[in-house]
Amino acid sequence: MILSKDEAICLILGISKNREVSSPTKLNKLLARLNLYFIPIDISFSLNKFGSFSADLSSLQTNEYYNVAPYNYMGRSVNKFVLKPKGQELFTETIKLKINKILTDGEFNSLKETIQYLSSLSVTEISDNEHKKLLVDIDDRFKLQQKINESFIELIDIYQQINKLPENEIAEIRLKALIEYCYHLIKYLKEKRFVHLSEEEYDFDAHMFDYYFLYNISQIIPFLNKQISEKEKDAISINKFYQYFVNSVKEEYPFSIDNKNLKELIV
Amino acid sequence: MGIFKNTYAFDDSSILKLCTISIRASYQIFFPKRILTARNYPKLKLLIDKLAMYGYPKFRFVPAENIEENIMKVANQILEGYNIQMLGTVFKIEIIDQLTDFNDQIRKEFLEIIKDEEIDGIKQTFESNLRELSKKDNTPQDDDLKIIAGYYKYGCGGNKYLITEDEHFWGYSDLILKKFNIYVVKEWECHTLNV
Repeated sequence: MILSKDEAICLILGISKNREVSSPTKLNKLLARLNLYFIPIDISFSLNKFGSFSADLSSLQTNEYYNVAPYNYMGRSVNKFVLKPKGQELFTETIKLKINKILTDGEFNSLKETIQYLSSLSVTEISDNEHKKLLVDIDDRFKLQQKINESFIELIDIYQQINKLPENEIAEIRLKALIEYCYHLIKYLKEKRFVHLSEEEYDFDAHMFDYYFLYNISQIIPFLNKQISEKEKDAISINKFYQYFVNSVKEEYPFSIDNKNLKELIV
Repeated sequence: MGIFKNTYAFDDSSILKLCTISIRASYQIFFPKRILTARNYPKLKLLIDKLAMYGYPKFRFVPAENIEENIMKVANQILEGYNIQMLGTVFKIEIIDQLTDFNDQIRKEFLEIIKDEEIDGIKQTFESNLRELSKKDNTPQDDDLKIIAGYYKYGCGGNKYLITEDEHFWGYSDLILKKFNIYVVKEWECHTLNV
């Protein structure tokens, strides 16, 4: 499961106040935030000094789902994005059905509240909030290393238990697959991706998924620990996490099952 | 529904085996082709194509209560004999997800025969003719009996064929024909059926 670029935009517009977002930069930030809700979207983000940035979004034009409408803001022309009826239809008939498979009603409402809250902030404020969470700033480098080490050690413990897990239900097999994937992913981040990260330099042009994945793996560790011993598996959450980690990235990201050289990174 | 001369019905596992699995790039090194199919896929496909050529509809049994179990069983069969040296459980889930999507799409292409809940009489027939099967359980499961009961009641002008890999059916094929007028066709022989 993955949301296409248009579906992801319509999701953001569909849950935003007045079904509109006031600038391309803000839309960029809000779309990036879907990653922290484990929603796989077909948009790739890199890191610049203002945080997540996607070149895919720089040339958006009006289409059947949304309008790109210029307006005057403090003497300069800015584009805002407004959901069209066809976009609303896509939201209700396609996007919401996909989302229902990975988010509970409570989680969806929380996403809606977060997006509406973030919409009320300035772009800089959204960036600061994101930087803090993802530990991308140089000042947070020590914390970042600490988080990698902690998460890796915890994943080793969890990974060692997967052979004990039965395979009587799809949710059980998927939990095993999720643990297997996260273990190798965090190992890749620790040993290959972040190993040479300097203490002084900002990680310009990094693939933002390095940071999303690290943050998100650390978020689900308590869940994984609980699910291993739980008799009744939480199939919806397991599926949500699995879909996010495995399907968010395509061949352009090294640790992807769409990369034909992935085996070299694992072995 | 008696307008068709013969009726061709497939159990869920056999329908799932019509799926062709696309292998994502990182896993292609473990396989000779970019797609993966069940062993009996070519034979099942041949029969399906023959039915289409002569305008025969194909049937399945509803409700499909054991679909998750069948999906896992077919995924395991498809993986048999392969040694995936990296993220093996992830690959199994990839197959399971593709089979699940396939099942959601393909079921619309099959007409439905309703399983019958009244199976006491049928159960007795099997119990008094018990055979030694290679399976752990010699008696067909309740769901198998519901399929036979539903198919038996289903009105059809010609012969009724049941295409299956399940020994609970083909292990009793003569009994099922004699008592319930259903021809059990072993999945791996289905391509030899004259349509």
